[in-house]
Amino acid sequence: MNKSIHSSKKIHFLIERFFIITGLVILTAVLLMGLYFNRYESHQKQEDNLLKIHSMLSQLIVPSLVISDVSEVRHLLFMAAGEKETFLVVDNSGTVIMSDYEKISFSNFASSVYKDIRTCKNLGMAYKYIDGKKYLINCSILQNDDIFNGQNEVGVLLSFSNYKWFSFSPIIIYFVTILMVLFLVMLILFRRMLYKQLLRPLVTLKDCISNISMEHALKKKHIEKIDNAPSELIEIKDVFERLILSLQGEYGRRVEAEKIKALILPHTCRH
Amino acid sequence: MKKIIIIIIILYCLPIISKADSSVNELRVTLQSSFISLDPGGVQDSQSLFVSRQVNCQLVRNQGSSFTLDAAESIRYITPLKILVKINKNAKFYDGSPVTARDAVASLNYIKESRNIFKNVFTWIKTVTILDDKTIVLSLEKHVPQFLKTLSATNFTIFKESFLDKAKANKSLWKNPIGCGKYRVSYFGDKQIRITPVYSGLPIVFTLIKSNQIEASEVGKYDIITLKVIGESKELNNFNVLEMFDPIQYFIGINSKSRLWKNKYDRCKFLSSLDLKNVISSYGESAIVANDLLPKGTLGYSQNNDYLFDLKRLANKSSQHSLNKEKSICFSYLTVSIQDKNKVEYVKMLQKHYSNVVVKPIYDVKRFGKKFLNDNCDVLILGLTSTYLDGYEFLTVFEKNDANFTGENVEHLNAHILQSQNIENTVERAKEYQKITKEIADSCIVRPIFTMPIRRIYVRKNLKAPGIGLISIHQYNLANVSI
Repeated sequence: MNKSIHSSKKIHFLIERFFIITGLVILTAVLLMGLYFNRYESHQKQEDNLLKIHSMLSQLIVPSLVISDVSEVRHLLFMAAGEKETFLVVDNSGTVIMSDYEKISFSNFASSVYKDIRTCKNLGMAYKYIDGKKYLINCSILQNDDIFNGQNEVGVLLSFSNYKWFSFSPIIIYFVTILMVLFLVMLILFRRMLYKQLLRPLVTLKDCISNISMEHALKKKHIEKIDNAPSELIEIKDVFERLILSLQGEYGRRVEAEKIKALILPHTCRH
Repeated sequence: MKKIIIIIIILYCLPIISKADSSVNELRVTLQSSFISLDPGGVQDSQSLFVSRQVNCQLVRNQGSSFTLDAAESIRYITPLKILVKINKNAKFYDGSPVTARDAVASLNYIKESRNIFKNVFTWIKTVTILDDKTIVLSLEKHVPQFLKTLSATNFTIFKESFLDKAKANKSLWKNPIGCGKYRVSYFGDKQIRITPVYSGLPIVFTLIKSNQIEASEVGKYDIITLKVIGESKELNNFNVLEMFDPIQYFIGINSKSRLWKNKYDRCKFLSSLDLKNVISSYGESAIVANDLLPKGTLGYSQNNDYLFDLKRLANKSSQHSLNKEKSICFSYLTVSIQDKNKVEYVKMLQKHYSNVVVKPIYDVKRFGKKFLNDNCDVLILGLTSTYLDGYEFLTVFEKNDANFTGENVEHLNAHILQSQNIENTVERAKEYQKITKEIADSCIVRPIFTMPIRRIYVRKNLKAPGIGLISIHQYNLANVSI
């Protein structure tokens, strides 16, 4: 009997372990979801920004391209480009105009898919590998809206953005930090609450019951008041007290009966 | 201990040995066949400008898509018509003397007096005032948005004032000008020019290749190749190939004073009847038939223009029934523009119309138009390129200057071209360039042949050349190259 008690887990250990595991699972799930949505959001944002840049840059480039002001086109491409983004223009005859011709791989790519580029076929927000690196490529047709000659295409604008499988936006860093702090706060509060309102009363009750059970005579009638005990424990305490009380009553009656029995038996023997 | 020392020695020597295949101590660069001149007076071909870029400095430089200050510390517009230029305190000539405001003004004055092409800058500048040793104020006639762009082209170099005074009397001094660039000339020969760094950088050996082309098997002799490479070779695997948009357009110009034609209609007939197919195909697939006087990619070019159609329209008015095949024709060409193998095609093209073709190459481009006219030659083949992709750079050869080869009275055209430089609005200026193009087409003095929009540059793979793709190679600062 004692052996089985020692081998079984204690209740506070079980509850704490269960809570920590559940908490960690929830935290991980929330984190993963957060990261997934961060990735989705950042990609969406990148694509939206790219579309806006394309739209604005096209409007600036077309007037210069129409009058063959390549110097200005190159200047605009230079201004729009960043460390992780490269823009280039391919005109109707297939000439690649870019601000820095050292980036040979991009001009080679543009030349290699020249037929598709003219219509931007398969190049709208497409992920492609160029020289072993993955890029987000976007293509937009440069159209000149001439009130006399109508709409005519003067070339295409291509952009190459470095692809990142995952990028930490500042928002996700705030999100994860807040989540961790909240989790810690919740863990501490829950632990304190659990200890104060469940485990301590429970252990106290257990000690009291254990002490009473160890006594040879059932002297004590009442268990001391247990602070912050939940109603179920108070009920257990009351039931135990009633049980002790009835046992004490039973014991008292037995003693009385034994006494009466002892007094009657000698009298009967005299007869 | 002994082993450790040996390992250290090996580790120290390894990088040196690995770099030994290319000449570590110097940078070997090819140049097209030309008469290299570092004198900014007169016409300077792209090869001269390439060498000049290394040994000279300017106030401001064009970096393709942006401007960078060179000898200037700051350039500030005080008003739309006044520009305050402060010269950098660290700007020095190779002899150690500092660059002063007087040197900058003397250089501008020298270029104004001695060079009669690219006159636009000087028509814009009203006065140049020296405020102090390091400060000048440029007052403009009117607001010119493209002023800095033009001033940053590789045509406005600064020399020491005392040197300019001496060089006016002794032209041979231009072989080693006292410039303020990163290099100084150490040897100036007909086939080779050596320049050494003033402070840091690799010494450079420029080699002039007479044929303007190079066999693939010979590329190992050079580190940067700006010429056409013929054939295939494993050696080419050691090079990165840059394909840059740097258009060069080829023209066939004629001497209007020639006895071969009586009037402009005859000239138009000659120009429009030339069969240029073989000539163009000899340049390979990259050559595009020119439809406009200005090359594609230059401000003012129009893809809707049909220059040949304009010539043919005028050719119909010619009284000449056919070209006189018995006569001989004099054919001149700029050696810096034409490769040996292509020259043959030009001759063959002319031989279809004239039995005897006399060839007179022009090596020195400084006054090539005048030389062509003085030689009484009839036809001139030339290639023109630009530094800031503006139509004016091509039209300037039709102004009244030493580059003008037409022999025509160009007073009206000269005024028209200069007037176009006062137009602030880029779109309007482009339209004006198209009007000028029509005017030139009406004179029947030139026919654009083809455009090579892309220039191919071979750079040895072990070289670090930051920014080489930003600008045309003749504007690139080779002091940036390292191993």
